[in-house]
Amino acid sequence: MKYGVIVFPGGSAAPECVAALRHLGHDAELIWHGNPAVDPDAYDCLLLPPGHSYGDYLRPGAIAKLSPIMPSVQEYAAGGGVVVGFGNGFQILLEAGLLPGAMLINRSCKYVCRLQRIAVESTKSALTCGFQAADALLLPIAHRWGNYWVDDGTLERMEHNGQIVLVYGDPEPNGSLRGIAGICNESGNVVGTMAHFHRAVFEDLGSTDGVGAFASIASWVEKVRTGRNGRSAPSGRSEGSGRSVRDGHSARGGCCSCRGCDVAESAANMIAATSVEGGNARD
Amino acid sequence: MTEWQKMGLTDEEYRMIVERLGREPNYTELGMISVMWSEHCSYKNSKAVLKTLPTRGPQVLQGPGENAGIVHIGDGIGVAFKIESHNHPSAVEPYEGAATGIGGMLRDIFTMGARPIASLNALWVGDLSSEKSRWILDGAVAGIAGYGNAVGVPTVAGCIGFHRSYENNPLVNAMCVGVIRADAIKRGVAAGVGNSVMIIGSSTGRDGIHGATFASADLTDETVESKSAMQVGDPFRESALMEACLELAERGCVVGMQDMGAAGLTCSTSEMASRAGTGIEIDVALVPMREEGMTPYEVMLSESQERMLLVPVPGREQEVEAVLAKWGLHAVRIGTVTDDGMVTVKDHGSVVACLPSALLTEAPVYRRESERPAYLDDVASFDTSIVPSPNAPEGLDAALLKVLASPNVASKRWAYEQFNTGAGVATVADPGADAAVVKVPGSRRGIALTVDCNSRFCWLDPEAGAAHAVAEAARNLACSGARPLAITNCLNFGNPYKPEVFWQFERCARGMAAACEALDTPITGGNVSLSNEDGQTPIRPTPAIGMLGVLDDVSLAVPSGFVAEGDSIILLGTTCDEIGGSEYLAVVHGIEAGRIPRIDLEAERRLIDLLVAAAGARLLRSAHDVSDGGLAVALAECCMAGAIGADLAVTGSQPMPADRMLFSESGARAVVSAKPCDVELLLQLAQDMKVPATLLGSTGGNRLRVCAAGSTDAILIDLGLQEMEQAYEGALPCAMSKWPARG
Amino acid sequence: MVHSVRVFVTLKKSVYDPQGDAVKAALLSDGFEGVRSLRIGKLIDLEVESESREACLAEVERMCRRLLVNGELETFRIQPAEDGDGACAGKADTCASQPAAAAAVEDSAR
Repeated sequence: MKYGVIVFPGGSAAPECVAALRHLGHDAELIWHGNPAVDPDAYDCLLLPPGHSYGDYLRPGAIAKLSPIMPSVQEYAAGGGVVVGFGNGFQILLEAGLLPGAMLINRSCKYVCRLQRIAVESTKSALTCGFQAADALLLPIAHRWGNYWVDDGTLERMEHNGQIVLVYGDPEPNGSLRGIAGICNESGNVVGTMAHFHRAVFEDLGSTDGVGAFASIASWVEKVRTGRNGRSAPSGRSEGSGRSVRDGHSARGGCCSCRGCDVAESAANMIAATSVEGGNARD
Repeated sequence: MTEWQKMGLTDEEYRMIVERLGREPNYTELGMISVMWSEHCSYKNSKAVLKTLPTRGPQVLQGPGENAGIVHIGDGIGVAFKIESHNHPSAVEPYEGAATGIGGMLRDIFTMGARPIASLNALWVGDLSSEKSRWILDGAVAGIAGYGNAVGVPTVAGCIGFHRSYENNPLVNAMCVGVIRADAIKRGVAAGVGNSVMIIGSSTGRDGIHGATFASADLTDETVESKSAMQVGDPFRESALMEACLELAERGCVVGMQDMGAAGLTCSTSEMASRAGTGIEIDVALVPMREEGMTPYEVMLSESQERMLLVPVPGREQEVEAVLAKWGLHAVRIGTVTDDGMVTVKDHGSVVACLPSALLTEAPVYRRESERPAYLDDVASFDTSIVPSPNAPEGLDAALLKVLASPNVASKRWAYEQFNTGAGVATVADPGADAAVVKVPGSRRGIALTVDCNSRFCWLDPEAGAAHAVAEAARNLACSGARPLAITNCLNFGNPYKPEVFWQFERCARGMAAACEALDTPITGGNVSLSNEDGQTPIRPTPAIGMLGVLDDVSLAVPSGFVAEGDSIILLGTTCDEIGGSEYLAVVHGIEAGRIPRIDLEAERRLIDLLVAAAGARLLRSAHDVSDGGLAVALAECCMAGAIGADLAVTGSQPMPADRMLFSESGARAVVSAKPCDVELLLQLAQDMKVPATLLGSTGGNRLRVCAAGSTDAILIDLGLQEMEQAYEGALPCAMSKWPARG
Repeated sequence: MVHSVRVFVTLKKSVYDPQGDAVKAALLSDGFEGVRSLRIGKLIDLEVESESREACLAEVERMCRRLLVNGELETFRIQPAEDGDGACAGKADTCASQPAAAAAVEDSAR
């Protein structure tokens, strides 16, 4: 599996997402938000990480939705590609209209950071297809604007379509409508959640309930691959072309030479070097 | 009032200035000198005392004198850390005061080339029955959260204390920790005559002019009125500035760099020049400004946030500009390094100020008058033996619940759940643990961090109290399995011109020094905050101790609370009959007096060595130090953290009333748990290392049951987990629910 | 020519306002017993270079739909100053009562 993790200015959690993915044995690459062209065949999944892009100014995710990369993220999603947003990533997907609804400030008006009980409600999405409905997970949350809202008509449609994929258990943390903690689009390939699944994959940091989500994404991608007859597997890994991060960028005609990815890359490597186990090498 | 008096200088100081300069200073020059000679910047009233503190050790890579201290933790990795106060601004605007406090600390770390990996905070506010105190606490915590979370550096630990003396003078101490390769440390030096001097980061406005002077005076209505625009932090710019500076350091573009905090450009230019023995010439017209019509005086004194002064490697100015532009920030050459030892300020080419940098950075050093305070005679002589012990178990149960619900002891979850403790996926210990444990990027090591101070102890006995603060910090680290290495301190006191206050300051320093020597934890830097009083009542002496320790293997970290049923519980150390100054005496009997527990630094040392050794041998399932609230509270906390009850029998060094055994705050103690099969080894190790160790009982069930050793019928405490949790977890949310949340 | 424009952004009536609720509770407990409702919005002051006032208002409306306003949650009202006047800032009363306010652009419910 090859992930593209998008780096937004102020989006501080991109390196830790990369570290988590590599810990699980996946390839993960950072993509600077200023890059206007994402090669859909290069990645199996695009991840929009948590953080505080643009300081959450105006509204969380509001300014990030205007980033040069977003049109190609839209295209990628329209083509069936898997797009996942955690935390601020979810907020950006909502602002960009890739997912229905919007975020309000938590009911307490305070930031909340804790391990939260979260239940899987629908296995229809790329993030949850590997779970069973009603599976109970313990996952970290850390946000101030996680109070999900959507109008009644849309909510009804979403419920009917199985688009409510995750809900908070007791005690609920933010006043979200219907306790909604994560949703997907109609086809299930775009998923957003306030839960920080990537923080729940390290054995020495508490919960590892996040692992199943990445397994879900892998099986979803595999299904899509085998479902496409005659098309060469877009595994995202370049065979023998010796592409490095930089080369990959320029081949797609979009590296802005800002070294923003390099900085985040070395941060990710540092985090990864502290992981207890490197994880098994997987596809 | 004369011009210089308005700026906080005495007549005598003005005379000194004229003598050293050989002429009278102009208005701009006077402004520059006055901020640099403020207590906050110059430490003129505290320097003489600070010189007595131990600052050396083989582990110290950088001691006091730079932007942050740095300690070697092994493998060529340096850890930079520092604590500083932002007390006065927080009293007026708690959110921004606390936020900009964090901002300043982050900059002090990354200006050394270190990547910040953790923040801590120590807060003291008034009694929570006061609306003002709730307002301040709410704002300060929100400010730390708002700024710290947005920058992406996890806030991993802290402490909050309450007493009415902080009502108008809250303390907001911010601490930051970062990592750097030991051979890549950057310093604040303007080296290389002819090199460029650049300002990088945000634009300059009129914020915080004379902020340093404000911070150095009593907080009366007058000083608050005359204060200038409050500094407002921008965490988004700060995170960009952090990345830009670290990138510059990594690229090798930097000769010297310093952040701009108190006294802005005046401070950074003069300090960088003084350290290098050079001079600096700048033109304020070149400084990017966000207001119109700023005078040179305003530009030199502005405390606008998120700015740095940089001396780049010659020829790489354009590279610096490019890096900063990428991150959306300014980078402008404003001057040159000279060889004349002067700070020369020009405006559109004309000289408007010209002062020797030494004049700015070498303020007079005073030794203030010192006199033992009268109140000590009353409180220290109080005889605690007259205090009756509540009956068992109902009275003792009620006493324990009351202490658990006391804000000083109660769970601080209300605060720490507002902090993004897990950012960076490196935080190992729960925020409620004794010390935070953070994985060091690129290494198997971990660092342990804590910040604390028992200000009641320091008020009752400044010397012993300060020693206790150091010992307790070291115990916290050792309980998590880490070896204590070094300290950064924030010394918060009242008005130094009052002899009683200065006496407290001197004695605290003495106690701190003794403890640091005994425990091998030199002081690598810190901050002094004086004049924390509203013109009448000084705060209690509050030497906040921020301590750093190392775990050679982070997987050896030991949790604080019980982890499993059937584990054996052992008390390391001895309980003595000394409830003087205890939380129990204050909260249950309404008395704050008596002799505080004696401090035995040798015993503390032995306990620390034992805890580190036992952790290394993986003999401990949990370890929690005994401090506020005594043994009963420590046991309750261990039970609640693990959601497991315990059955134990307790005893003291000699026969004593039950409440003394349960609530004395004797030092050098820790409650540990171990697998039954490891108990013998552990007890043997304790004996070898000369630490008293007593098997108390076992974990299990859902109640905390304590009886007196030797008579298991005499039940002292019998409380359910839920009851204790209600008191412990409910206290702060309940008190703070009366204040509306900030938008 | 530079035009001054104010944009008032408020939550839609159907959306719960946690901040407004918390602040209302504070006022009530502070003795302001008459407060029945309190909702918090945003005020954005802009100075925009444009050929005409009409073009300016149209552009600001586009800005609102593109970035300044979240169409799911919020509604907005654009209020221009009289042509040639400085920014409205500090003259809230005059702004509201100006005849030009009649030309304010309202966001229709979505």
